[in-house]
Order: sequence, then C-alpha cells, then structure tokens
Amino acid sequence: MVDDLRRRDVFKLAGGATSLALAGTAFTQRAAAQDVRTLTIAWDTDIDTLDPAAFKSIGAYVVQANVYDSPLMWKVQPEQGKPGLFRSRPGEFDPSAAQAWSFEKDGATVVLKIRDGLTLPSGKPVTAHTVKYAFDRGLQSPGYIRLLFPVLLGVTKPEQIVVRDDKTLAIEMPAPSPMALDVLALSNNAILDPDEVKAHASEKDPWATDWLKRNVAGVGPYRLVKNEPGVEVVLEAAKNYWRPQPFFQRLVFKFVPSEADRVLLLKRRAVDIVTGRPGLSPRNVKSLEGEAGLKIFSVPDTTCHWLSMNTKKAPFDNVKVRQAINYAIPINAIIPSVLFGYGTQMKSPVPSLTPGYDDKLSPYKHDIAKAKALMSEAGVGPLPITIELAVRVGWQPHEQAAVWIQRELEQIGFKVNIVKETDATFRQVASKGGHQLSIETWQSWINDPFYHLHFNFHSKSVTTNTAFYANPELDKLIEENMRSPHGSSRLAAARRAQQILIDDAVWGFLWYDSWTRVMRADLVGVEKRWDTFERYYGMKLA
Amino acid sequence: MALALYVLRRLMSVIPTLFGVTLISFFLTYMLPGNPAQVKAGPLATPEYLAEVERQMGLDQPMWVQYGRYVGGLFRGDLGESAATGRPVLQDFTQRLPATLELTLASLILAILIGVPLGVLSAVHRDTAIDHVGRIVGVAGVAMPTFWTGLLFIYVLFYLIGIAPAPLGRLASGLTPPTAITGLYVVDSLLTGNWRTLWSSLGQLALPAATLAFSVMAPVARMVRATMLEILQSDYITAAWAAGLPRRRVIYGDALRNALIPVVTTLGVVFGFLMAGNAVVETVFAWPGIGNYAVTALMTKDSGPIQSFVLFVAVMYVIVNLIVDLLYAVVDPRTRLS
Repeated sequence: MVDDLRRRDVFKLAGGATSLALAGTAFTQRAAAQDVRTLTIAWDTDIDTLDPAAFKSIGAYVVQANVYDSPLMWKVQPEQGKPGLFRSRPGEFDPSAAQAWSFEKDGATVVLKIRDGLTLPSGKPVTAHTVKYAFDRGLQSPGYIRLLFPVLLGVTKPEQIVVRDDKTLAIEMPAPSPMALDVLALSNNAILDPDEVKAHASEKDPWATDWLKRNVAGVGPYRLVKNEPGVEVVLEAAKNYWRPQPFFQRLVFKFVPSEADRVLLLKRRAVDIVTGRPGLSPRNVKSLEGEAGLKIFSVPDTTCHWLSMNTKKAPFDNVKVRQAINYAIPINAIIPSVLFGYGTQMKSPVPSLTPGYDDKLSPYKHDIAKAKALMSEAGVGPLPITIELAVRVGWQPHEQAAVWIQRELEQIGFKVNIVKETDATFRQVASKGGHQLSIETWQSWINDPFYHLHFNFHSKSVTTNTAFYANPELDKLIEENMRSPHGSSRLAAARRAQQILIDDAVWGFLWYDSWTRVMRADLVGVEKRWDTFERYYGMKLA
Repeated sequence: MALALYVLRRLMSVIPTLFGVTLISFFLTYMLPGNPAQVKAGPLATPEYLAEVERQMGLDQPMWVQYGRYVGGLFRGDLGESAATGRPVLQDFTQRLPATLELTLASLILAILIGVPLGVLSAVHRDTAIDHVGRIVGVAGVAMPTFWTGLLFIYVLFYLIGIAPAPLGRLASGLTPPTAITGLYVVDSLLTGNWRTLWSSLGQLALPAATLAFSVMAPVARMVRATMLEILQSDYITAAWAAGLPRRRVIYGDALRNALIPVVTTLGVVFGFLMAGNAVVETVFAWPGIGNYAVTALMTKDSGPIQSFVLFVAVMYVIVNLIVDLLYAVVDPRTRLS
C-alpha cells in the first residue's frame, strides 16, 4: 500500500519533469531564428530623458547619439592591428548636419555651412534657422548646456548665434576657442525640428523639456520606435536620411541588470554585443578572452580614475602626505589583478590621449620605503592616522582597488576604513567636502587639456574639483588658455600645469580605463569616439 | 451578513495601517543619505544650478511640507516621477506590478504544488528516505540564496543544456504582449487564445518561478508535515482507519483538510515575503517587476519609486492578510462562530 503510493508519486514527478524538458526545447527554438539586419545589444540602463540639453543616463546618451545628428562629428580612423575598429584622433572632424565649416576673425567666429538637401522627418528642409534653434534652446532651456557654452565658448546669449542666410550660420565668440569644433560635435547639439518642439511646448514648459524626455523630433540615422523601461528599447533605421541606409535596420537594446547573465547571453549568442558603462567588468572580459565566436575590442581611453584626497583637510593638506600616498599606491598590482590589463597606469593628471600629455613628468611609482620617508618628513602624527576611504557600491574595480590601497596605506602609517556608499550619497558627501579619501572618476568628452584642467583643478570649479585644490598660479594658467588658439605655447602651458599638479601630488594617480567591448566575432565597423558612445550606423557583419 | 460586516470591519482597520505605512515609507526615504538632485543634475552642475534642480524637485521645502505634498499626491493618484525612467511612477507601476504579481503567484502555486505533497509524503513516511530527502531539499531551498539558485538554473538549463529560454524578461524577443486584461501574460494569453505568447510566457516564467518556489517550498512542506504528523495521531484518524476507510481518503481527505488551516496562514506570510523579496530574482532574470525597479531607485535615492514600492508591498500584505482571514473562515468553521 505504502510502496504503491510512493511509486505512483515518483512516476508523476518524473513524467512532469520530462514534459517540462520537452517544452523547454521548443521554447528555445525561436531564439535561433534572428534577422541578420537586427543587432541585439544588452545593457543595464534605462532612458531618463532624451532632451538633448539635459544631463542624462548612459542609455539615454547612447540613444541620443544614434537618433540625432549634431552639426559636426568626431572623425574616426581605422585602428592599427584591429580590423573592424575605428577610433577618433585629437582635432579631426567630419561634416555632419553641417557640410563644411570655416573660421573668421582669427578663429573667434565659426561659420557653418548647412548641408544641402538635408530634411527633417516632416519633409521640411533643415536651414540655418533650424540649427540656430538647437543652440538657442541649449542656451535657454533647463539643462546643463547653458552652463557649458559660456565657459567653453564665451557664448552666453542667442544673439551670438547669427543666421547669415538660409544655409549659413555663424557662432560669434569673444575670442578664439580651441574647443569650438569639439563642442559642435557633442551629441547634445542635436538638430531638432523647431515646429515639432514648439507644438509640444506650453507656458510652463516653453522648451518642451517634458515632451522631449520620451520623444524624438529631428534628424538622425535611427528613430525611436519603442522605449519600455526595464524591458527594451528599439530603434529602426530612419527613412529619407541623408546618408545611405545602415546595415543594421533594427537595434534592440535588452535590459539585462545582471552581469552574469550578460556574460552567458554573449556566450550563447543570444545578444550580439554588450554596452553601457561598465557593461562588463574587467574580470568578466578577461574570462571571455579566446571564447570562440566572440571578440574583444579594447583601446586606451580618456576616462581617469584617481584616489581623491581632500587637500583642505588634515592630513591631506600636507603635500608630503599626498606624495607619500602616490608612492604607496600599488598600481603595478592593481592593473593586472583588478583591471586584468584593461587599463593603463595614470602618469599625469591629464589623460594619455590628450594633446599636451607628458608621461615623463611624474616620478611616482610604488616605493614603500620612499613613502615611509615622506610620511616622517611630513611630521604628521601620532601614527597610525585613522582615515576613511569612500567608494561607490557596485563599482567593482573601485571596491577591489580600495582593498589593495588600504593594505599599502596601512604599511605607511594609516588605519584605513573602507566606506561603501550609494551613488546619491557619494555625490552628496563629495560635494560637501565630506570625503577624506575616495576613488573618483572623470571623462572629458572634449579632449582638450584645459577643458580637463578647468573642471578638475580650477579653484572655482567647486562641484567638480574633487580635491578642493586651489592654486592661483594654476588658475591663471587655465584662465589664460581656456580660450586661446591651440599651438605650441598652449601645449607648453599644459605641460607646466601637469608639473604643478604632479609636484603638489593633488591626485593619487590610479589608472586610465581602456574602452572595451565584447561582441560577436563577425561584427565590424565599430567606432569609438571621444564620448565613448557607439554609433551603430557604421556597424555591419563581415 | 455577518461575513459582510466582518469584511467591512477588517477594511476599516486597514486605514490607520496604511496611514502608518505612508509615514514610515516617507520618513525612511527622507532619512536615507544622499541627494537625488545631485544625481539628476550631473557632475557639471554649478551650485546655483543644483539649487534650481532641488527647487524643481521640491527638495528645498521643509520635511513636513514634503510629506504633505506626498500624501496629497497619493490622493490624486500622483506617486511622483521616477528619475530613472522620466515617467510618472504610477505609469511605471501599472506596467511592472503585473509582472511581479505573475511571478509571485506562479511561484506560490508551484511551491504549493510541490510543498504540500512533499509535506504529506514526509509525514506519512516519517523517518524514511522520502522524509530525509524532503528535509534536505527543503533545507537546501532555504539555505541557498535565490540569486545563486537562479544563476545556477540559468547556467545549467539555458547555457549548458539549452532547454530554457534566454533570461530576458517576460516574452521571447519579437513577440508582442497579449492584449492586456489582467496584465498577467499567461492569463491574458489564455483569455485571448494567443497560444504563441502563452507558450513563450510560460517558458520565460518557468525558471524564475522555480527559483522562488524552491526558496519558499520548505516552510510550506515543513508546516504541512508537522501538522499532518499531529493530526495523523489524533483519535478521529484512528477511528477512520478502524472504520476501514480507503487510505487515500483518510490522508488527503480527512487529515490534509485539517492540516491546511495553519498552512493557509503560512501562505499569507510567504506571499508577502515573495512580493517584497523577489527583487533579487527579478534582477537575475531581467524580470521587469517592481522589485528590480525599487533596488535601482535606492542607489540614486529616487524617492518616488522607493516610497511607492514600500506602499504597494504594504497594501499587498494587508490584502493578503484579509484574504487569509477570510479563507480561515471557509476552512475552519470555528472562526465563524467566534
């Protein structure tokens, strides 16, 4: 009796399991039949707003860069030894919505010639007025573009953007800006349809910021057809676009919050490429090396990661202590053990790809004896000094590097407590000067030494100067060179600035990220620009 | 009539509970460190610009004004805006809540389907191999973290063997969701007779539901086992045996029916636990539910989604408890008398 019951149940269970397994085979059959003209991308970001003038999430920037054209574009060149990969070089630009550009008044005025035959999705032509609207909107609407134009270009009011005729637009700056063309390549200067935007404006919202959060109205290679947060974003090739049709007619961005899943999806070819920041941690990229059917593109990039020391707070107000820290950072262990080689040692406060960068100025290398000597010269004490090192939760390389740094700093007289904070907390504490030590990161989309120096080291850049560094000589150097023609004296000034910052050991130098993407092996036409966001327009299957 | 009055009285008692929940969810979020305006304004924001963003978000107001606005908004169905999606939180919830509900219900049903027979078998075959296996499986389910079980399922069934679909949410790529009636894809597909989406949504649901069910099956099985053991030794069962009633009828009819009373209570608790606790599983399976949404919001101190999540889970708890109490009245006639 008893046995009977048991056996029957076992059979039932076994039967159930078999039918589940059979069902499973059918579930997966669909996945294989994928259209070759569709590119499936895994990421872990939603779109917060597509308003071109607003600061936005990574996902929103990626979409913005693919649904809108800006007046100019950073030119890309084939990367040596990496067929299928293209990368921008400093100071090289391509025409885009503007088919040509020229300078007047020694570079103080930029003249844009708007592309002939360029039309909006509505069929109306794109004129100089259309492009002016994009700039006017950036200058006046909420968003951060109106903070950038005055600093970078000296453009503060719409009157400085002058329509000369239907196809000619002039940007009148008070002085030449070496960053002007870079600014014109930013995806934030999206060519919008003024009529469409105005149709969705209201008295309370004159720039239709609310409507533009989730709607796209302008010129670009793709159009947004679906945006379902937490599920997927779908872009389709735009009709009547001025360039030839792209290979990938459809881009499907799948929201995959778990990194382990992103790895398995790539390995099973359920997705073609993983994007986002970081998308995949260095450890996982390493694990995918040599995986059949996949390839890794990795090139040096301008993203800096550094140990930020609050120069206003003891003991980091002491230059000897800051120098000691720079000698104690075990960077030669962090690069292989934390970054698995997907990063390079930082040898200057400016990125290695930035004009004027000099890797010969920094004396710092891992040298505990020297660090200890500097600590005793500094005369701080009594040792050990207890300090907090703040990192952001979920920023894997930072969390891991913090442990390596902690161990070394404890050798030279510190007791280090690692504090993990959410993004919101980290930013708040940082801006109030509450961090003693923290791991910070920054990327300059405008690849110019003084752009970078201005935001990170000028005493007036209170929210971005994470070290709270103030040096009148450096401030003066930055101010003199923010808007001066790019030439040898400007490069010399950039070198002088690096020397000051290295001598003062303002940052604890960590690493420059490599821009790294893992994708199916036959994907080519991959383009990496200064803002790091892929343009899918040029991608195709080999 | 008496039942209607009972329900009404229970519903009235919900009001102060919900009021308390709004207070707690608001103040907990308020006390969280971090400034959401800073996340929204971006790294290049100047202090003046930051102040402007704070003003727009109403963060410059005193705490009690912010609370008043929050509660006032609740009455108008305005739960605020999500910083991550740029949409009203209510809209996000309308889209995501059915996903969470579907997953929770599926895992609960699965847990009952496996847990109850397992409990009965363990009790009937006390201290035999079946009982031991049941115990080991149960302990393993409780002991293994769900993200790990979930990943293990994905690794083995999707990656290695390839019988499970890609862990990419509720439907296979390229399928459009069935016409929304309940918002539960499986149910809606059945109602509209859309067999392709039914098949796909069942396939997508299988692994996450199994992962969650695995973690809560043990309490159900243990509870069934314990009460069954007690009941199997009671006089009326002995009498039933003595009367020569069929074994099946004694175990599944007389004994199990009475054993289910405490189990119903357990299920209420388990349901609440699943609702609030499946954030991890949602993340592992890219399941677009409210748990995953709330976790992301926590990182950026995005108050609208966090407060709404707490509120929704509390409301669900209240409703489930109400249902459990009502079920009690059905299962156990004694509660109706008192």
